[in-house]
Amino acid sequence: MAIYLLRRLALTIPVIFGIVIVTFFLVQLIPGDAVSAMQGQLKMSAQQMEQMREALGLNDPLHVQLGRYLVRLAQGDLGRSLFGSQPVALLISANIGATFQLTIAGMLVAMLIGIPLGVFAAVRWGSFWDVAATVIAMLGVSVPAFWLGLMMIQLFAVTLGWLPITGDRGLLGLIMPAAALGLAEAAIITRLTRSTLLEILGMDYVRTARAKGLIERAVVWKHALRNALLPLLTMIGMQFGTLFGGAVIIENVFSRQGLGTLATQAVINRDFPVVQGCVMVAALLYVLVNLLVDVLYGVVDPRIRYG
Amino acid sequence: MITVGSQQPPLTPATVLQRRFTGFFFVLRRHPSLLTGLVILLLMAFTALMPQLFTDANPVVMNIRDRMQPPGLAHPFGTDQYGRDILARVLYGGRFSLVMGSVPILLAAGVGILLGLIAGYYSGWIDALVMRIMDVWVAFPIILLALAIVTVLGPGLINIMVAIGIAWVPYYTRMVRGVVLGMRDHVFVDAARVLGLGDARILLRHVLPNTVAPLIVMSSMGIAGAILTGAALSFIGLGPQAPTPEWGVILADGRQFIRLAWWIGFFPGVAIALTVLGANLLGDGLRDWLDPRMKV
Repeated sequence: MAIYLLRRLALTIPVIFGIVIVTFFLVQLIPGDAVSAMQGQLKMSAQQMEQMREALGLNDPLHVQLGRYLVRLAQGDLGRSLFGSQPVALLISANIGATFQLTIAGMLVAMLIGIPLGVFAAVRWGSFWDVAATVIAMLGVSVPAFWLGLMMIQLFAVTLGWLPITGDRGLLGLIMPAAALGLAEAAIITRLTRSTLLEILGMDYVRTARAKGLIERAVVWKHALRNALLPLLTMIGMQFGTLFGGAVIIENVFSRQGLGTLATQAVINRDFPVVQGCVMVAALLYVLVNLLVDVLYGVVDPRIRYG
Repeated sequence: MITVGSQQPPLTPATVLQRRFTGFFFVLRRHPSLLTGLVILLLMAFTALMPQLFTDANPVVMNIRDRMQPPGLAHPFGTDQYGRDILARVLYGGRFSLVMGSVPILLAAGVGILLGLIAGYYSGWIDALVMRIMDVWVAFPIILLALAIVTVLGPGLINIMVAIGIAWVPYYTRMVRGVVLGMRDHVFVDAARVLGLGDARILLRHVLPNTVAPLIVMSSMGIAGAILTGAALSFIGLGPQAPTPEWGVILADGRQFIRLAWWIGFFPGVAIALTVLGANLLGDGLRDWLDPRMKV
């Protein structure tokens, strides 16, 4: 297990390094530089701009800037916002919790709907219910999540008045954003659960379980579904990025505080250090979640650990 | 069917064409989702290209006297805060979605095919390098990568298309590389090499055709994804700007007036969902038909 972990970790480090490099060069691609971007707000003279460039080290060669960037990053310094000059690390840590909460809640909604629906469809393979579940899943991946969120606000907050209109009011305020975010994901999980389970239900050990007289429920939920969970786990890891990106949009729909509203505002203000920080943190999280999934995979399935 | 001595009708170009057609209709009958998806997409494309057949209203001219009218005879989908006809806005907006669905995918497929062919065919350190770059590339969630690119390039239709296209590249690269790796050791590739064909010719004439089926399937799913992402990005204000009748832009208006006028946001959402459903169904049907092994 230790060797497996080390090998997996060794594969992750270059990716993390790559992410850091890419986010560094992203800012270099901007026409002009950070100082000319600030020019709009601060009204500086050409001389002041030059002084600022010198102070920020923007006149140094690129590799020197990269080195300095890496050293600061290692100290947890992501730079400062061009607006209000708060440290980017502080802004991100103040907002990331809310986004993480929404992402996890969305994933929970997706699994709670997707897994049972997928099992249901697979067990009744070829029946009307199977077709119905497949059609629902197809609709689910096609409906835009942000529109679904808007329609939920319209129905449950404006018309019926059951739920708060914004997403910042504790658990009650989390219901609609999580549902809007999770439904498309639920559709994907439904399809995957259905197809994996269908394959497994045709296997010899399932026939053995049935032959020794186990009731169908035990065969499906204990013997078959447990083995279907492995591909599901991989899928959930891969979909984490999609869900996290979706959370960015959903936060905007529900005026919910989080990394998404922070990043969107920063894009509109052209506040590069904040965008840079948000994008890097999101990519690093994706890598870490997938590392975690791979480790879990090794825990659950010994064949992978020793293979 | 063919028996010795039976009279076969001569193979004129016309009969060949006729056979192709009956073959195509046979495929459509066998794959209902392919047929449904195709019909929906053709319908959406037709209304988007010929909106003046379905409405006389202008999608951008304001008419304050008619503002916030609920759906009715004069305005089937109602009007928005400036009295613009929502039906007209949704119909004209279809053009943007057609473009936003196809351009990024063409861009991504072009770059992805090239990288995938190179990585798969040459293997070794080139392959390792390209694939590690792709590992980094996919780590950025599409929406956030697009946010970053829009920050650099500025908001606008073309820039979000570039952003979405860039975000899709690694999926094409990985897929094409996988197919090429499977192809490389086939006898027909060795044969081509023995005949003295160059790498470029082997790749383009002998290896690339084998990626066509999965490419078509991936692209129709990709179109669905690109339309959704594009609409989401313009919904948060990073795409085409205000009076443009783009579906995400209209939806943003709808969000602003949600307490007063549900119809502003409702109809463009239905249009997005229908188009995306069409593309997804088409992709599903194509996969069943062209590449049953890929069935998920």
